[in-house]
Order: sequence, then structure tokens, then C-alpha cells
Amino acid sequence: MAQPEEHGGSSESAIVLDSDLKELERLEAFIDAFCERENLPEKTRYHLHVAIEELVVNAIRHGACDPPQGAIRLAMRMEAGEVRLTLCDTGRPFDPLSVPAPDLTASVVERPVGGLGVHLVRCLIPDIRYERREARNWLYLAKPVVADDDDSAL
Amino acid sequence: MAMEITRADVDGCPELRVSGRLDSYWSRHLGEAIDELLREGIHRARLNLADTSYISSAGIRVLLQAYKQFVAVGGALVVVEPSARVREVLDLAGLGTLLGTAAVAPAKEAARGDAVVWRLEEDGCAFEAYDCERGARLAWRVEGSPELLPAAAFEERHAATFKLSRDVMALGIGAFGDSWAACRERFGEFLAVGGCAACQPTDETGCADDMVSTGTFTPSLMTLHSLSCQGKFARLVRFESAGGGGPVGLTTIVRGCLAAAGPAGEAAPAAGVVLVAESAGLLGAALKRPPVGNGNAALFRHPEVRQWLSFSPVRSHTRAVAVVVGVAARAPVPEPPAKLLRPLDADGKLVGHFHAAAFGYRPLRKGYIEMEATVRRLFEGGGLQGVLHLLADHRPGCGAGESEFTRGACWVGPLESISSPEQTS
Repeated sequence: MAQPEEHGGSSESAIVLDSDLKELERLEAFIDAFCERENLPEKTRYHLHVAIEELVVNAIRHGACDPPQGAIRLAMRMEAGEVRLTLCDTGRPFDPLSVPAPDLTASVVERPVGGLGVHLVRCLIPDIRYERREARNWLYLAKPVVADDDDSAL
Repeated sequence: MAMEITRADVDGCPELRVSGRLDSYWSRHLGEAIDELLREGIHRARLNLADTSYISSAGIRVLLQAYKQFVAVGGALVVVEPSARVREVLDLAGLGTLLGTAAVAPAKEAARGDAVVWRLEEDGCAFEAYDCERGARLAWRVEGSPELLPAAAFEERHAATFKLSRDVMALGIGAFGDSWAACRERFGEFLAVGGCAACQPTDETGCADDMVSTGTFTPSLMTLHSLSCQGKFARLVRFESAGGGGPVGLTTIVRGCLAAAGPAGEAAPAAGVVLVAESAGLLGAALKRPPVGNGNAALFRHPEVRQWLSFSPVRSHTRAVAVVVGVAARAPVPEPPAKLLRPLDADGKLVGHFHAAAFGYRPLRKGYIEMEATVRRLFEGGGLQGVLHLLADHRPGCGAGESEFTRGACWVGPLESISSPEQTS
């Protein structure tokens, strides 16, 4: 099951994942294939990997998707020089934009160990929209392509 | 791509080099490798991330956790040569300070090493003692009637209330609760020390339970019988298995504690001991049923013993940290405590009674440490696995042996007076 689907004109790639950390390897290969096809710069690829993994792992760890089979779907396409992503899961309602930003000024020892994932996603992907409908979480993300020598993007 | 961890010694400092991905899936292996360093007693280490191609928040979580563990034991963990990708993400997470700032100094002797007042190496164990409160003694007390235990003959009138005072350590049979009805079905082994207590309930849950006193809140236990010591400890005795020998048996540790406890350097005849140590395996037993309202039982007789006590001839809680509370003495011991003390060594010259609470592994700081702070950190960190009565079985050939430890800290006080108040009826 869960083969990447090709959609004609818009050149969208999609993958359906089980709610299981073992799927990360397949997810990785899928992102790599997309970035390769679109010839994306190294840095953009890395940002996509980090951000998508955070969101998918969150859904797997905390979403309690039932059944776990085919619970998560990720679609990626290029539009107007941006990578457009749609991530959908059947887990508990969770809006990552509602998570307060961590206190980055606290000393390392005082820092809570968790809560950084969503912060990283928001740093790496400037444009995120959340919707809850049809008993699913929908995230729409747009990541501008960053040139490898561009440090300002962070 | 997977992840690989290689270990090397760089300028006398252990260095873990991580190549590949520190993601949700692989980073826990790094956590395990770091735990292993701490278990070996290493308190300073480097983490080389030059070949780490990817780090996610899960990887950062492992780094943060490890960093805190090293700081907690007075050591240091430094991230060196992070790849550009790792550096970018660590910067985003506001964790620049984790990056290698200074070279890691080779491990130094504990800062209070000059305060060591006594040393001994015996039976494959190296001991070092520090003064806590010179000349301090512990007052001990037996409450209740331990002789009712073998027949499971305890009744409501035998129960007493025990408050978790911070200067009292105790062990016995008890349960959390303030009424007979609440405790009746749950009485089991307990220990209390430094304002913390742990119980092994005998109800169906079988899940060990603990409580910690806070500023205004002093929890209490209902006990069927207890042995308690009150006062200050004279010495802190640190021990570690020496000369490449295996773990150290409880008897060896207790002998070292008695030898260190005397006020003028002579051995004490009897002492109260609180031990916090890395367990190589505990040998003990716990009640399966509350020893109440019976009177005709024979808990310790075969085959009935199987219905009453859970006992495994194989050591449990290997790789745990144990808090052990008890009393030890050189035989013969005057009544009444004698009936609570059992032989610890093969020839019965050393007697004692110890209960242990096992916690998930946490490294122990080296050198001089405070008893209450150390114990409270363990209790407050959660991870209580169980409470048991420690056994010594030295029968030649078929004996199961005794509990064993690799290193730890014992707070010891010679016993001052013996008192057995009126029956609490």
C-alpha cells in the first residue's frame, strides 16, 4: 500500500504513511525524491526534512491516530517559486500555531527538554495555515526556496 | 541513512563521534551511549557532531537531557565541531551554549577530596569517609510487635501513625493512608528517609508508591511495626568496587560502614545506614498479602511461604539506583532489636535489617554529597520500581547470595540508645 501517487498537471507528489515511527525512512526517501526532481538547493532540502519530520513525528507520537494504517498524508508541489505542502492526519485536533514559543533565553539547565519541535518548524517555514475539518488536521505550508549561500533566510 | 556512534579518547577525555542522523528514530541510541558513559563513572565527555548530517528536535532533546545529566553530577558535556546543519538548528533552538566553548579539562579529583578522613580497601572494595557531624549518634526505636508477622496476626490495635520527619529514617511494614480501612488491604514493606517514603502495597495493583514531604505538607504512614533511627549522621562513606573485581556485596559494604562509624576511628558495634548506590542486582522478598487478621498463618514455612511472599532466587533491579535503609550490628545484640536483626554474613557475626527502594538508573555525583538532597532528587525524579526486604542467603552450595552494588554513598551513624516503648495498643 501507500505508493507515492503522481498527479498530472500540477506535478504533485504525495505519500500516505502509517502512524508508526518506522515510516520515517520512507518519508525521508519521498522528500529526497521530490527535492531531487525539483532540483532544490541543499539548504532548502534540509529545512524541509527537519520541518516535515517534526510535524509527522508529532502526529505519530501525540495524535493517537486510530487506525494507524494510512493515517497521515503528505503532498508536495512547486508553485510560484515556493514548495507548497499539504499535511493531513486523522489524529486528535492539534494546531501547532497554538503552541506558545519556548523561552530561548532560559539557561540550558532550566530549559524544559521538550517543546522545541514546533518552534523549529515555525522558524524554518514562514507560512503555515491550520484547519480542522472532516475529523482531520490539515496543515498548509509554503516554503520559499532558499539559496545555499543565503543566510538571511533564518 | 542510519547513525553510527564511535568512541575514542581524545587528550584523555572520552569523545563520542556521531555520524548520520540524529532524528526521532536514531537519537535514542545516542541517549543510551551517553547513559553508558555515566554508568562507567565518566563525568566529563565530548560529543563530536562533525559528521552529523541531520538533527531534529528529538536529537536536541537527547543533547539537552545529556547535558543536564552531566551538570547534575558536577561534570560537563561539550558539543564540539558541529556540522553547519547541526549548528544552524542548535542556533534556532537557542542552544549555542551547548557548542564547544572551552576545551574539556581532564577529570580532576573531587573538589572535597582533601576532606577525606578515612580510607580502607578490603574485599575488593575501596572506601573513603568524610565527616558529616563529628561524634553524632542516632537514637533508635522499635515500634509495634514484629513477632506478630510470621502468623500474620496484626490487628487494628497494633497500627501506629508514622510521620515523615526529615531527620528520621525507618523501615517496616506499612501503607500510605490515615485509617485502618484505607490501609488494611495494602500493608507491605516500606522505607522512609529524609522526608520521603516508599511503600510496596499488597493490593492487586502491586505498584510501588512513594510520597515526599514539602514545605507545609508532611505525609504520614500507618505502620504495623517499624524500626527507626533519629538524629544526624556522623559520616559519609563512599565506596566503589576496586581492583577490577566484580560488584560488592551488601555485607562488605556494611562492614566498611561499621568500621568507619566509630567516633575515634574504632569500629562501631551498631549503626544506622542509609545507602544510595548503583545496584548490580538486589536479592530480596516482598509480601504478597497484607499480614493482618489471620493468626494461624506460617508466612515463612514451606510451602505456605509461596502464598505470602514473592521471592526470586535471581537478583532483580540490576542497573538501578537503590535507596537502602537499615540497621546493622555485630552479634550478639541485646533485646528487643535482636528479633528484627537477621544474619547478614555466613557465620552470623554480622546482623541487620534492610529495606531497599529501586529507582531507574541515575548517575551519582562523586565525592561529598548531602543525604537529603540526594535522596529527594531520586524520589522527585519519579521512576520508583519497587520496595523490598533485602535477604542474605549464604547457604553453601545452594544459597542465592545477597544484594550487590558497584558504587555508592552510605550515610552512617553509630546507634546511641535502644528503646522499645509500650505496645501501641
